[in-house]
Amino acid sequence: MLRKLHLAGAAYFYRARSLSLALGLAPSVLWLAVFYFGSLLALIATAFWRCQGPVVIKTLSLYNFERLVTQPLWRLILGRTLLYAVLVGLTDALLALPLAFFLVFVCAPRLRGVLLAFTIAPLWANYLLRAYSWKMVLGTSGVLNTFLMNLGVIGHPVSSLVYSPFSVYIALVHVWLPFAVLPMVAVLERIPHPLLEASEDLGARAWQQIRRVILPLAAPGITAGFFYSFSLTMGDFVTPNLLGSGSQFMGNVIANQFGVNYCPPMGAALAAPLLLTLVVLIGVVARRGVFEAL
Amino acid sequence: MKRLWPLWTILGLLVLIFLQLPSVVVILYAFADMSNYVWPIPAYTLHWFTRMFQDADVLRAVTNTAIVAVVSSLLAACVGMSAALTFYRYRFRGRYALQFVILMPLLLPGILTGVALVSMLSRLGVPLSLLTLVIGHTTFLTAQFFNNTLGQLRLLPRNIEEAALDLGATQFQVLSRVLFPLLKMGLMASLVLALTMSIDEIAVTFFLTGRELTLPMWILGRIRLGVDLPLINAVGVVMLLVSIVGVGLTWSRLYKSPWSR
Repeated sequence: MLRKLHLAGAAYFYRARSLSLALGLAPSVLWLAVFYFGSLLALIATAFWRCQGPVVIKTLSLYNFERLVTQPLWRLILGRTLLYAVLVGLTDALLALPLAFFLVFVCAPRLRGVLLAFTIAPLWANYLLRAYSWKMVLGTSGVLNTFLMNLGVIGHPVSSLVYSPFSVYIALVHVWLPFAVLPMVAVLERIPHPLLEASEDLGARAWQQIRRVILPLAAPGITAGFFYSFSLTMGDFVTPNLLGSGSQFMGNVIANQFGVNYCPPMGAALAAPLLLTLVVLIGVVARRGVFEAL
Repeated sequence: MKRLWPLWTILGLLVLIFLQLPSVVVILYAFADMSNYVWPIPAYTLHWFTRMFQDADVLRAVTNTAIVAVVSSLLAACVGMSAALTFYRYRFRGRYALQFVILMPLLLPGILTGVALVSMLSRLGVPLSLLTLVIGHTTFLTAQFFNNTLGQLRLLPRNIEEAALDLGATQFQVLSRVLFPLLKMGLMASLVLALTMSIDEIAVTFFLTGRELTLPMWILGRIRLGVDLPLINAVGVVMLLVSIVGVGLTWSRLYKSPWSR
């Protein structure tokens, strides 16, 4: 009797568990299934249509993908985008590390809060302005040129500072840097202090402690920082437009196909390598507990 | 470790200065008495701020952006939080995979969310409007909320919940009287962050705005136009001020709540 009751109770709780599990997950799963994965499917399906002039022909074909593979231009653009994304990701990870070390290990908690607010303060100014501010700094009659001329370092303004690969690179590094700092601060803060003290007591020197204790524990945060700035750079289409010398990036060509060059099927096909690269990269970094660090 | 403090201080401050420098230039040019960016600034004026408050386009763009930010942040808060609470409470099969799935709109760049939604909406014949923009923003903000809330929940001592249950609280009471009060400030912080992200977002906004005018689209249009450039800076400075007030009000508690030891 008691056993039966017990079983009935367990069954009830089991049902309640799956019920509340389902209820709790339903909103997000449904929303994403419809609006995110549904739309990604629509995007992929669109890639199999093609354009003839301004007309979209809605029959399935591999035409866009053939162009993607055969025309060297697309490979060049994908390669260039990947190169910038890797460089920006590495630079941001490299710049974020000392800042995160300073914030977590040197600053008192109160000061850390204030300085962390300053770190993400650029995010509160509009993204477009953040990118465009580099035009104000690097422009022919901008801050840097005038400054260098006043110092007498250069005789006349260097016009190649802005609208160049350099200005795109520096603006991207700047724009995405806060996104690399935050996950690093989060992982460093989670390192238990006794661990650091123990390694000191056991005679680890400063660099040994960093290499053997801190960096392994901070690895997910560093990876997350790299991945964030890498991913955001891969998809960026505004900064190259505002500051570039006309070189195309994946984001630009996709945006153009959905805008001025109106051919959504080609744009969708161009989004495919972007999507693929990032999903593969996520698959590689996912195993290291990176999502816990975001 | 202490021996390396000077090194981290110097390098860290240099990076911090690099982060702030362009913002300083943006702010200075907002007061510049000229119509493009030439250094040094010859004279200072408040002209652009008065211009801004008379500009009908700016006001319309600000209103639209604010509506989208508030509606999508609140929607995302409901959706993201319920997922985070469920993740915190239960271990289930495919948990890790599902976490990855929910985070995807945040992990992949916004341009993919934007063009994908446009493809689907145009297939369904849905015209672009502020509503479609809300859908786009809610999608990535849900991931943001989920991630923030889960992070804050993880830092709560596990036994708080068990203690409440032992003392006879129902599941609902645990949520409303224990978890929610503890999370309140963290949620405020997430909300502020979500509002900022929505206002700042350009990729999704660019593809889903349609004919409506939003702040990023207005700024982009003005940059392309290339006249009266400091007007953009003035708008940027006001946005910065509003954010600083908003974040300043929540920051001290915001910062303490998720990471305090």
